[in-house]
Amino acid sequence: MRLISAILRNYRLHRELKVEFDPSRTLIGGDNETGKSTLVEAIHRALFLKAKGNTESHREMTSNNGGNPEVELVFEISGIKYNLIKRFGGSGTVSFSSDHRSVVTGPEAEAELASLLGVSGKSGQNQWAHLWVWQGKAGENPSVYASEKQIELFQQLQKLGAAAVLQSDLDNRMSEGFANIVDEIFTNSGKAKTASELYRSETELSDAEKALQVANARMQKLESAMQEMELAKRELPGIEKIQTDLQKELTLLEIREKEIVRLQKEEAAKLYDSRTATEKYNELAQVNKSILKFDRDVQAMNNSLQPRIDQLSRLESSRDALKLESDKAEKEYREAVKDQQSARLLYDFAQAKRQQFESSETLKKLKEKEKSILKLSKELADTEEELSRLPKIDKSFIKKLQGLESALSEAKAVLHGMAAGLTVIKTDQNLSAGGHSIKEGEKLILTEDTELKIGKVILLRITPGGGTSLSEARQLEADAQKSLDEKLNAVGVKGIQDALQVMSSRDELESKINSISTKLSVMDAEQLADELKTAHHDFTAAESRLERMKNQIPASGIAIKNDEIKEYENNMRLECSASDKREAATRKQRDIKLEEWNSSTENFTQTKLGIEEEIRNRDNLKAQLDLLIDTHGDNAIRTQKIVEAESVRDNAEHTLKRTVEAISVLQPDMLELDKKRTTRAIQQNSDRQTELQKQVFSAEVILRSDGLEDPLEDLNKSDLKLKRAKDNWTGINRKAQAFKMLDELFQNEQRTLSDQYTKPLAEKISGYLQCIFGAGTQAQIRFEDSEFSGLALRRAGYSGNTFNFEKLSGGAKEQVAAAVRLAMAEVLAAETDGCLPLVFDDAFAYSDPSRVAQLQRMLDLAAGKGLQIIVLSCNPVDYAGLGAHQIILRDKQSAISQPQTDNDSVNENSSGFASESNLDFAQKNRIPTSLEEEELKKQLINRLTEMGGKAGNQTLRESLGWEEAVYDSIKDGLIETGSVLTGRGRGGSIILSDL
Amino acid sequence: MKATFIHTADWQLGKPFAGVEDQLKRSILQNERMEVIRRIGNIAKENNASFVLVAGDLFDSSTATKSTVSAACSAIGSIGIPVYVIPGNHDHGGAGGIWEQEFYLREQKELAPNLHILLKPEPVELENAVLFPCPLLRRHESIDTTAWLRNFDFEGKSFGDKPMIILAHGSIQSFGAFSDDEESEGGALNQIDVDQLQMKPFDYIALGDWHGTKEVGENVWYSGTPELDRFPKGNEHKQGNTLVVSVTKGEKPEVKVVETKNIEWHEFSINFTDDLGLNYLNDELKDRIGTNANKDLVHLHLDGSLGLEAYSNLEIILESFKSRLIRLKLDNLTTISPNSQEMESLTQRANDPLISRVATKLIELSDSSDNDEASVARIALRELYIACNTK
Repeated sequence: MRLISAILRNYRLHRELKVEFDPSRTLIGGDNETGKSTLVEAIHRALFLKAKGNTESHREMTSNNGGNPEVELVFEISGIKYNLIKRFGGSGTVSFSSDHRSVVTGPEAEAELASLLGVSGKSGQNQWAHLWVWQGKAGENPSVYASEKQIELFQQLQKLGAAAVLQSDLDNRMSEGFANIVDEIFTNSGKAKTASELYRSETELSDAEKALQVANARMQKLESAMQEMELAKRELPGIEKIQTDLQKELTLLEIREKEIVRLQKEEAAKLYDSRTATEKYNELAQVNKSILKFDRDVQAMNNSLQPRIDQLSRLESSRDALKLESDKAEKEYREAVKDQQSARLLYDFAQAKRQQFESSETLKKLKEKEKSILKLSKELADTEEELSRLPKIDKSFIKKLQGLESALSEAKAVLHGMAAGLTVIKTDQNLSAGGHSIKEGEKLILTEDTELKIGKVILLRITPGGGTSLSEARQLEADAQKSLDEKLNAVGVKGIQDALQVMSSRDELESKINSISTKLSVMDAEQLADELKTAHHDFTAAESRLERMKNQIPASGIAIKNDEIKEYENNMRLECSASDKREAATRKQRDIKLEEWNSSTENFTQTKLGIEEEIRNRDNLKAQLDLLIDTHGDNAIRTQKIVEAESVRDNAEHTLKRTVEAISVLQPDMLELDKKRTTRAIQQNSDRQTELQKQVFSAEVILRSDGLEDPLEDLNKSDLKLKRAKDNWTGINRKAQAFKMLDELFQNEQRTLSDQYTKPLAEKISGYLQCIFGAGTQAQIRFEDSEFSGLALRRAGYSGNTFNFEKLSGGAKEQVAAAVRLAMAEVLAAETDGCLPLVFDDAFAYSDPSRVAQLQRMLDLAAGKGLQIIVLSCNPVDYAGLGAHQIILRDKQSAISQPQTDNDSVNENSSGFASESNLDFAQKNRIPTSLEEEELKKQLINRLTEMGGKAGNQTLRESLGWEEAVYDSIKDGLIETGSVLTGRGRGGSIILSDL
Repeated sequence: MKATFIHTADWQLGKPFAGVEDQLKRSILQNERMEVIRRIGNIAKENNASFVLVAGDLFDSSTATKSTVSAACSAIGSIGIPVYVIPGNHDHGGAGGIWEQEFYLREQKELAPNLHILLKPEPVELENAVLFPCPLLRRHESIDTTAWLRNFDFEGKSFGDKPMIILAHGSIQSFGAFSDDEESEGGALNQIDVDQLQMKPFDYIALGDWHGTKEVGENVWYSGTPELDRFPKGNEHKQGNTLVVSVTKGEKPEVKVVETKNIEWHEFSINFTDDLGLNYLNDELKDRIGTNANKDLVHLHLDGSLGLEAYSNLEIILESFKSRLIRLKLDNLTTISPNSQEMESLTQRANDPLISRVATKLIELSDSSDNDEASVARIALRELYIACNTK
């Protein structure tokens, strides 16, 4: 079938629209709302909706322009052209005619049309769903449509070489039957179901295995009990013998122990004896030794004492001799002292005598000197009397007088020197000076201011000496005279000559006084009285001394004279000095001797005391010695005793040694160890014995058969039971596996058969898909349980992966679905004249521009195979490559009739869409072009900025009123260029980038 | 002096025959082992034997049940003449063995006073003979139990002209590593060096352990078991006999083999080359068993292949005989493979493409090198065949 032309009248927005279809490729373009979909809807309704009716569909197609909607359709089937006119509505009419047939109308026409189109049952939009891609249905799985057309499809597919026979009822029964059996035996996971025989045999098998294990364990227990018992019984006699031997050994050890104890007691006693004897012997020996030592000591003391006694007597004689010498020296010393006293008395006397003489002489001289001093003192007093009567004129007074005199002279001289001389040499006028008239030739001395009158008019003042000084000089002179006179008068002299005279007399008297005073001072008049007193005292003292000595002095002495006294005194002095010397010498001698005697006496006394001490010691020693000898007897007795004690001691030691040796032979140290060892061995052996007896006992318990059943028999039975269970299981399992195999084979073969039917269809689909997805692309589709299913795509270079239709992207779904429709149409077209129309109304909304380009190859291929391709798009420029006949619909105002059908209209159309103010493609799931994309990007950015630079995806999209695909595409583009960033959070958000 | 006695061994009383599933059938086998003792008693009487020698394995296990012990004592007691027994590997004389069990001792005293268990390796002098027992004192003895006889000092003993008879249990050197005992692990254990004994002045060596009757030397015999307890190994393996021995000091003994068995143990193989082989099997079984029930045991080896239908028939035959026989031990290696007709009926189904394809696939799989897969495929094929022919 091929559509040739369609005319719409009063159909929705179309008042009248005529469209002529290309036999192969028609592209219907036009903006939205220009009635593209309405056009194809009208054609579909003309074909499949009865004209007469008042359904929703009928009402929908009514035009605002009034009048009944009418569609006039011309099409061709197998070279016959048909003309169909339908006027829809409650009183709708239909008119159907063809080249070979006159017009029929009404129900007859409808019936004929339906029969021609192969329509059965209800009319409606679902008719020809495999050929008619309604807007928005492009991505639906086309298998559904294929299933609807399966009978026709198979008829055609069988013709195309799928010669296989359809499976029979028996086939199906078998297949289902085996599937049921397998389902009864196995669970989904392939295990045996509990109700199955297989499960029972498996259980039986595992039970048998367990039973065998139990029987085996029981048998093994018996056998090991048997073995243990045998071993224990074999070992036991040996153990018993060892035990007896050990007991014997222990008894021997106990006997030995007793003997050792006895010997040790004996050893203690012997040891005591030996010690006692030794002590006794040692005591005796010690005493003897002491006695001998004492004896030796006494002897030694005696020996050392004798020489010392001799020495003492020598010391005594020496001491006595020294006593005599000392006494003699004492005597001599006393005599010397006596002599010394006599000499001293005489010398004292001589001295006193001389002093008496000397003091008497001095007294006499002093008295004479006293007289001379009195005479000089009288002379001095007289002279001083004389001097005191003269005025006290001295040289300085004279000098003052001389000074006054010369001052007077000077004052007179000055007075004379100052006076001016006036001499009148000639005169014709009367002259007066100082009131005194002076005549010619007169001379005057002027000493004071004088007025000089010459004639009657001339008056002159003369001032001698420059002024007033003339009177001062006259005063000075008077004063000087006066001073001099006053001075002279004070001393009573007339002038200087007189004064000089007085001064000379005074000098004379003063010299005399000085000379007398000098004499007096030489004679030391002041000390004379003291000297007189001293001299008098000395004389008296000497007199009294002499008086005291007079009785002791020999007469010769008393009679001595003044002139002899000095010699006498000297002699006496010498005599005194000699006696002093002698006294000192004898004293010294006496002291030495006394010292010697004292020392000797000390020595003697000490020596004597020492000897006495020694004697006392010796006597003590001797006393002890004597006591010892008294106690222990004399040497002979003692020696006898010692010998006896020694013998006793030696005997005791010998006995002891024998006992010790006897003990040592019995090895007491080892005994304890031996005992311990033997006891331990007995214990261990006994333990072992008990252990073995226990073993025997417990083995006996195990082995004591209850005799009800034979474990060996049981084991054999279990073994065989297991074998049987295994055989049984093997058989059942084999059978179960056989059913499984049957089921699988049936399923596999069923699939293989299905593949045979669908293979030509799949190949055709693949052919179309290869236009888009390239060589090697394979489509899969299965026919199972009277349905097409498993539509899938396999592409070259995707590692053999198969993509199920439902998993494909929106775009790929559209494309694959289109391929299936084309393939089906191609197959079904063979039923009639090899042609069927395919309508794609906005069928590739999700496909990107490059895919759309590939799509055109696919559509072109279909057209090439005889199909009539009709594509509707608001974007016809995308299909420029299809090389289709284009029809552009204008908007309703201008779309009254003839649409543009030339190529120029494409340009017009493309510029037209830019004027679409609201870019409605964004709301209609169409993928925008790049130009549009830029506009949309701007919109998105602007809106995002208004929203504060950040917004959730959903909020933003809803705010823009865009479809999700459009929004995502634009947003992804912006993210790619970095204009916006992906935000965080559920649902996703975007953020305006700083860029 | 001449002594006539019965030489027997390996009674293995109480043997469980666990391979026989049916309790009743198992009892038949077990009872028959008791019954043969009475038959031996009869033979002894008929031959005027003065005693019976049992060369080991009187009981099947050291843990025989009380009922076995009582039945055994009762049967032995019925013999009437002394029965001398040595323990074998099944009923060894070691610690905890059956011979020590109180119950046994009690029953023996009461029911079988003529039973003498010889547990010590020392001569037992009888009126007309001297026995030299070589008892096994543990299940697996690594030393030769007859070793004590090699250095036995005959000088000091005077047995007069009484024939000297050895009683021993084990395999002999000349059998190599081959033992007749099902449980024996092979040569090394319980070995008897008979050659060394033949040098000595013994008149007869009565051996046990080997279940077939066998003359090892002119005076060395295995009596074999008097009643079969297993399928015989090979045709030369004659079981089910008892020996009547007459021996005179220094002379070759007279040995008479008397059959004592009652139950038949058959063993045979059939290789199916075509479906007609089934008839042959049927004939063979009928020949051997006749119309008997519960009197025979059969060990059947099947091989070759049968068609799907023939195999179902085989199963019917086997079902019958399994019931009639005391035991049908079956080694069935028969493969199921459809014959050409069957194959055609499965694969050539123009109207059932699915079944045809599945059958073709299964036939392919049944030739698989994977045995498991192949046998599963054969079963599957059979199931498919059945399903197709019943529906």
